[in-house]
Amino acid sequence: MIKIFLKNKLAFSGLIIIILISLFAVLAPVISHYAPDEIDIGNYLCPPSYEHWLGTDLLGRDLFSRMAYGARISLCVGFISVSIVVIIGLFFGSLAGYYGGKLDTLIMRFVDIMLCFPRFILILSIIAMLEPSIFIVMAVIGLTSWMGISRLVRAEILSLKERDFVQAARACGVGDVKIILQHLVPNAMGPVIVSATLGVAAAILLESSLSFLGLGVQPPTPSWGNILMDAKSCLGIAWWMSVFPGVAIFITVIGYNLLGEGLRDLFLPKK
Amino acid sequence: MTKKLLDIKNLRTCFYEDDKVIAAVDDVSLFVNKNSVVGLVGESGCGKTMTALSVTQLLPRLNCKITSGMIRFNDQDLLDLDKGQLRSIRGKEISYIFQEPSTCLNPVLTVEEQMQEVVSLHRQEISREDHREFIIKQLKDAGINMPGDKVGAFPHQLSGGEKQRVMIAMAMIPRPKLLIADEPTTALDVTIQAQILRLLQDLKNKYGMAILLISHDFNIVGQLADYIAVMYAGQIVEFSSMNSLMNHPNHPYTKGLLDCLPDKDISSGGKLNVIEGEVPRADSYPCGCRFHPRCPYVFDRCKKEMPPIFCLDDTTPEVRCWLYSNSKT
Amino acid sequence: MALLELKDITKFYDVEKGIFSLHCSQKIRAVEAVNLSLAPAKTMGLVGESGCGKSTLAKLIVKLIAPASGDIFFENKNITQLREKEFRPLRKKIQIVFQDPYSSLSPRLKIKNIIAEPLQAFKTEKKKIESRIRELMEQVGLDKMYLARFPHQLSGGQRQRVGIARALATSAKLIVLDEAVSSLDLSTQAQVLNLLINLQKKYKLTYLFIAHNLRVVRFISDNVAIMYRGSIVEKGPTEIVYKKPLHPYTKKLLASQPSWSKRNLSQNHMPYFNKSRTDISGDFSGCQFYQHCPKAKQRCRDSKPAFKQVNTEHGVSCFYID
Repeated sequence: MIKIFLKNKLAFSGLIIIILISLFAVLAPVISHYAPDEIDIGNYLCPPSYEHWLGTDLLGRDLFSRMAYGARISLCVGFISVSIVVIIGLFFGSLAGYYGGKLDTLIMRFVDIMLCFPRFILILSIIAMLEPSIFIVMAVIGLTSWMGISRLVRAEILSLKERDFVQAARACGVGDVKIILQHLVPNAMGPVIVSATLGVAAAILLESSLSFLGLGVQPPTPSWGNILMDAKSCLGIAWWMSVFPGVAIFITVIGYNLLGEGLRDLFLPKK
Repeated sequence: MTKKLLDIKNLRTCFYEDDKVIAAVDDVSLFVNKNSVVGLVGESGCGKTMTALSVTQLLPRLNCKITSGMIRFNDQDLLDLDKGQLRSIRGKEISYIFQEPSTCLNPVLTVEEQMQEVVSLHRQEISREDHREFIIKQLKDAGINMPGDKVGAFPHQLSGGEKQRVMIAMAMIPRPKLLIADEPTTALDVTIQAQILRLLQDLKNKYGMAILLISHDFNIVGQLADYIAVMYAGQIVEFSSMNSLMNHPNHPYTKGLLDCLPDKDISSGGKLNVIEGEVPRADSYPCGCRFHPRCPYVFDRCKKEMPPIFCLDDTTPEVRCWLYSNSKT
Repeated sequence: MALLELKDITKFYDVEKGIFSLHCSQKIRAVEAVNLSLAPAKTMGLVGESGCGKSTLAKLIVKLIAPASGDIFFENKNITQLREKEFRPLRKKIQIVFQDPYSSLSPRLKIKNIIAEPLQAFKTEKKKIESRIRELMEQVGLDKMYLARFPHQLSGGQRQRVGIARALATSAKLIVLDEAVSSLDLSTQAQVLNLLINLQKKYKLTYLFIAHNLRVVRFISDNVAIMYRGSIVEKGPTEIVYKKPLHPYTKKLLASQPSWSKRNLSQNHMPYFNKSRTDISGDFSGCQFYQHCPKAKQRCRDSKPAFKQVNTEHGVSCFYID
């Protein structure tokens, strides 16, 4: 299976990109020469140079360090919100798919209602009511993005539960919960993993957008989105402040999308 | 001397997977005479379908190729022809019917539309206005009840047996000289199966057609076939006339298979004679004779050398087994 | 004393028609008024073509689905109305082996976990589970090395053996074999049939052997029941039913079997296609075989023939038997 994956060049490049960005984030304290919040007004808005590889921002903080620590935020938000999405999606999707009937109708109508809200506006409204912070951002993104996965899971389980091995487990006396956890969910994970990978990209974009609007990660904690927010005020004079975070977001999202597409080919091969 | 309509000699068709070359059809030789039925019998994975598809090179394009051998049809070497010439033979002089009629019929086209495609392609002498009448007649010949009504039906509105009859009607439109039927009755109920076999036999007699009938069931093949070829692990292990094979099987595998049939008049509680072991996987065939690990008559030579095909007499019986090494190859 | 008895079992499936499924649904009779009795330590064959209801009957017996009406007695106890909780202990004694060795084993579990599953469901001790699994593998003739493998690494025959091992795990008394050998190659089929017979002799198992292959059923069954469109049309000892079939459908089935030894006989007795009677269509309340029966008369269309015992063990559901 790994061989097939490696053969898919696009997916492989996606994986390489993600590995590099992750290393960038994990090794942030090692590779940064400056602390991300080390203010140096004397050197504000310096273009990229030998001392500051990516330049400095309005308060003279080193952009490279801020980008590295910002990468941690982006990846963290990506993973944690998607984990929340997957857990909630699996929960509702399996219940709806396995039990069917009224429970299914109830859950699916709830999903329909949730889908009626424009997601971004919903997130904005919730965050505006609470104090924005990274935890709120992760929770809110997670709580508003699980609907797609729940439908996927429900569809997979609807077809899986008629398969002989599930009937055999029921005939053996295995309880419902065990059947769902041991037989149905593992076999339904294929499309879920693909969707989750693409979901990480979407979560990163969402977080960046929220931080750009000032409703996400709050300064001084750096995030690619709030670096862009600062860049807004010096667009004409400091190109490095908008280009680098923009490119970083772009590359990360592409990386996850390529990986997701590659995983899709892996899990749903054409024969 | 009866003329051979289809003559396959030493055919080898290979799959290319990663860096492995797997011979799905390995040194297969058989022939089908005009107006006769040859049965090709074997268990799953033995290469019978690949052999059938190789005849007109209907192979999956990307990783499958005929690497050697000769296929002569009506004195023409099929491997020598270009794509255009091959296409004019495929479907016109050699027709196919397959196991699963539901997947062979386009679900969004009616029966008439699908059959019309074949009529326009291979029976151009029939004018457009006469198409419908001709199609209805073909359906009637294939034994469909009320063909006038069924002609406008979609595949999902037909039963399994009716779908297979539609397939047969479509295959018969160009009046082929050879019909290759790959497990045509396996997906059908027993009673419908009997009717389809009878239909095939009647069509064969009516149109002087030859049939290559592929199945895993000796009884189905035995009901129609004049000759039977038995395949094991990509090779033909025995090829002889029906009566001689069923009454005096020569190859140990054939003997073993016939013994496995729960056919005898034994009261329940008795035991079936089995062939021990399992069919080897295509990427790990044993050295020497491929059947030797399971053969009750195995001796030293079988483990080292691959037996060639031996002819037991001038008429057909051919066996791939060292037990018959005294006969000529 | 019969191990399992079915009395007047009926099962309908609803088919909804209409755009919003608001229309009155059509009921499809999957199984209708089936009476069946399984003697202990014997094999009952159940033969029929597709759509006759044999798989539905299998699921009813193992209580994967519930009948619309009728009663099921196991060891003289009425189990029909038992709730899952009350029925669970009996699941140990009634097990099922499915047709498709490829889909009846969970693709992501190792073989040892698949066989352990019923034992774990009934809270057997871990140590006992280990030894029982080894014992079962030996009984079905599989090497211990397969325990650590996944289903896709085994052949069809080996998978089916795993299915049988799983069914035996809790020392079942009744095993329903739903087309258990139909997907197997001839040589593998023979091995599995022999295995089933050995196990039956050793453990005095009762089998309900469901198949459409008449020869296999004849080989393994002591008694046979023929099903057509949800009803049992004939039943009795296998040899008697096969040698002297009474119901027109049974006769048609037996005559349809392809046989290489029949090739020289005239085959004109086989109708070219189903000459069905066209004076009726859709659902009707008479004998379901009316449309295809050469002997049918008006009476057959209007009322269903009752099941008649022709002699002590052989019975048939037909108005006009020779």
